[in-house]
This record gives sequence, C-alpha cells and structure tokens, in this order.
Amino acid sequence: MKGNEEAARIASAILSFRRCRSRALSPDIFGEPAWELLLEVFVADAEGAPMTARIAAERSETPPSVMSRWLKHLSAKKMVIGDGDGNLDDELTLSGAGMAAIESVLLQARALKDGIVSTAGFDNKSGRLDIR
Amino acid sequence: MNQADPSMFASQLESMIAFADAHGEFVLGAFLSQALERINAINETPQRLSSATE
Repeated sequence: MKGNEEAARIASAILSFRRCRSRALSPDIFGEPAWELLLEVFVADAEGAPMTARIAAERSETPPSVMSRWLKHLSAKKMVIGDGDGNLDDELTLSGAGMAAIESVLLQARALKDGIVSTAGFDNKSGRLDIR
Repeated sequence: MNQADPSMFASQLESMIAFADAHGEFVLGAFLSQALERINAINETPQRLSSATE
C-alpha cells in the first residue's frame, strides 16, 4: 500500500459504502459504532483534520450515550488517544497500536478487493481468510 | 413478562448500565445503552399517538 493516502481512501470508501447501505436499507439493521469511530479517526488523521466522537456519532447516527461508551472502551484498550473519560468533544487520534491495526485491516480489504487472497491464504471452501 | 410495565424496562436498563459502567464493562454498557434508546423510542411512541388524538 502506498502509505496512508491510499489507506485513507479505502477507509473513506468503506465509510461511504456503510452510509449508502444505511440509506438504501435502514440504519436500524446495521451498527458498529466502534468501527465507524476508528475509521473516522483514521481518515481525519490522514487529512490532518480534527475528529471527535460526537462528529463520528452524528455521521453514523449513533446515540451519544452509546458512542461515549465505545469511546471509553477504545480508550481503555489504548486504540484511541483522548482524555479517556468518554468525552464526546475530545479531539481524538489513533494510538500507534490502533493505527497499525487499522492499516492492517485496510491492507486486507484492498487485497480482498484486488482478489489477491484467492491465491494465497484464502480458503474457498470455508470462505475464510487465513492470516498469519 | 408480557404483563410487565414497559416503563419499568427503562429504569432496569439504566441500573444495568450503571452496573456495567461501574465495572468498566463499556462494551456491555454500550449494548445496554443501545437497548435503552430503543426502549425509550417504543415508550415514547404511544405518548405521541395519544397526544396527537387529543
């Protein structure tokens, strides 16, 4: 992957796809606020733009009370760096571990998109990706 | 369970959320909060309907 720029484009595409999906069907049947928050922070980091959990909550139509607890969890797991008390208005960045994890996932997303995994690490029978 | 007062569900969920938060179980708290949002939405709907008919 050519650095953060391409990863950020993939993350943006995933976020766009998720919103498209919610509009076409219903936001009630989807939901992964933590994933949405991580992607939003990742994209914002790449663009040098500020990101708060409140902005991510509004974009993903997640109630603030729910997003606040996901933020506390991600802070406790040291995935995001904020003040750690679940303040929705705190400006967030990804930790080193969080950044590495998201980049790894996005790399796999690109590999899936490009069909690379059909020749390495992908079990066609189970439909699972074997990552070692 | 069907005979229970639905308005009690919200207060029960609030207690469960407080318990989860107190134990640092924020994933549990997040799911319970999501449930509370849904319960509150359901509890608010009849009120809106009844007020609309007044």
